[in-house]
Amino acid sequence: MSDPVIQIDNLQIRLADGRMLLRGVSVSVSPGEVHGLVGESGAGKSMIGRAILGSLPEGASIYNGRITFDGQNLLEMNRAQHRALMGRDIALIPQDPLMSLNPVRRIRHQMVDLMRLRLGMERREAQRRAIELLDQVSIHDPESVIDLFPHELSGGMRQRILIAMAFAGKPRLIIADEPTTALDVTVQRTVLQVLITMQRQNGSAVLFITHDLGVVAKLCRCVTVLHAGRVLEQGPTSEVISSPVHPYTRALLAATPRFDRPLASLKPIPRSLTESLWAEARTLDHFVGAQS
Amino acid sequence: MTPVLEAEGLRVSVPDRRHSNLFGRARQLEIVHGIDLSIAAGEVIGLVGESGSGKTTLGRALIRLVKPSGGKLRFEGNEIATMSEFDLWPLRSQMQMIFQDPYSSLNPRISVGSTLMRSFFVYGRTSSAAARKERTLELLDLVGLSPEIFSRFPHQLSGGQRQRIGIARALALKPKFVVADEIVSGLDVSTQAQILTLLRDLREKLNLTLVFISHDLSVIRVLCDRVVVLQQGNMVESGPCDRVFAAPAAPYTRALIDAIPLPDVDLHWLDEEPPDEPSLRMTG
Repeated sequence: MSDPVIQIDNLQIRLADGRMLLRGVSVSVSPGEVHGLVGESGAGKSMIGRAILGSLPEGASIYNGRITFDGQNLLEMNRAQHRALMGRDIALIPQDPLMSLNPVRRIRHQMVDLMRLRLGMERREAQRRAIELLDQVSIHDPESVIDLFPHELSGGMRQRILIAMAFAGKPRLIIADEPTTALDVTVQRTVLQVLITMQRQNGSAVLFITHDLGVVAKLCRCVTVLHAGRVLEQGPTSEVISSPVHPYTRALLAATPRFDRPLASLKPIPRSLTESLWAEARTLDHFVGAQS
Repeated sequence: MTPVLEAEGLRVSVPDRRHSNLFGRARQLEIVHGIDLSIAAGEVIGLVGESGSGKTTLGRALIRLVKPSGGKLRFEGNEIATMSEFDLWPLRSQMQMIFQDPYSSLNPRISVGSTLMRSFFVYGRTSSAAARKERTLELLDLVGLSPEIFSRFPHQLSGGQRQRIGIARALALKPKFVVADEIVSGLDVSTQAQILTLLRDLREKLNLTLVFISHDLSVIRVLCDRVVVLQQGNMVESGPCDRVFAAPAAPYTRALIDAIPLPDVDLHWLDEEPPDEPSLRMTG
């Protein structure tokens, strides 16, 4: 097996007041692999992506752990070195494309700016590449779409444009943070198809952050189930989803409504289970505190 | 038995802001093009469609939050499509809505207890403040919230608790007909399952008549008796959930069902070509 593109070892993230957001998470993703990070809100799944991107929320900092990208320690890099990787070797596909695009600039300028700044392309070359990329994400008539403003596009189109922008620098790693949560199911499917086609062409590794076990089951070869900043279960999707070992994974599956099963089979996650998991996690914090 | 609600050729238009003239007057744009729907007491109907299909607009028209532009709408035999606000007032308490975002539909400056008590006050259902408070506490219990919640403010509650308050407010006056608009779509899986099981219990306990609007067919399947599929303002399919999910008649329904990623491992799912449905291309 080839070396992982990204390797996260025992990552711990702490808020200024001492509360822990991540309590020792280890994940590694090989080239060409799609790895699902799944959990409910507050599980810390987005924090992993933000730690890699160096954009942790205010007050949060890395307390312990290593993030290795292509053999280099990301956390020991200076700002300039880290920045040189962003948007080029490591790219983000965010949840809300409308928030990520400048509302008063045409798509053309936003894509060209990105490629000139991040990839050092010339304007003319960048424009040609932008149209080529839009065509690759199956946008009809890219020559005219490129001159539109973000609000003139549908949600699915906007998300495809962000996918095109993310792949502009043929990235080694894509962080996809709930990229289809805001979309209709039919649109979600086409957007995921576009994403996976691009990923296969470029051989990129993907960290796919989602709360939807269904999407994970269709997309990811491996999956990490997170709760309270801890990894509860990790492994090939075929094992974790088909025969989950951890009671939380089982409860999460039982709480997911499915159209092929009646309501009687739907079971909310027992409160006793989540409470005991939180208690366990906090006990762990005392241990970490005692160490330091 | 007369149905609780009956719509015949119901049409709804909204002002088209993109084409308003100098004085802000806008042309009307028809969103819902003639819907026939009959809802019996105790029935739970799922209204499904993609964004822009008109499901929310139809839901709002059913309880006359917007005035239909055409067609008939009868609530317990009364024609309400063209009824004046004045005549509608006594019926308002019997038709309620649960909104998608409970945070923006609750007043942040008053406690949730006061919000709930207000319903009883406005409709003059109770004699004294003490009686109102008692009814409100019963209501909190009904939706599975503890009495302490009474004095809390919306920002102090979790998403699931807020949505329970939204449900409590809609049910306060024992309405005969409720419209729930995407009430579980912003919630976590575990909270969503809690709200769905709460609705299942309430429907048994109160014999609720409910129109449940959702873009998620899986959620509709677990809760509803009948499903109505909307596409660009037209009803493309309607029938019992069992039948529609087993053998959808409309290709659009088929496409919607096929697009749902079920949590069963299938890494070739994305390789299958979606059915060639022209309308899907448009919205993509």
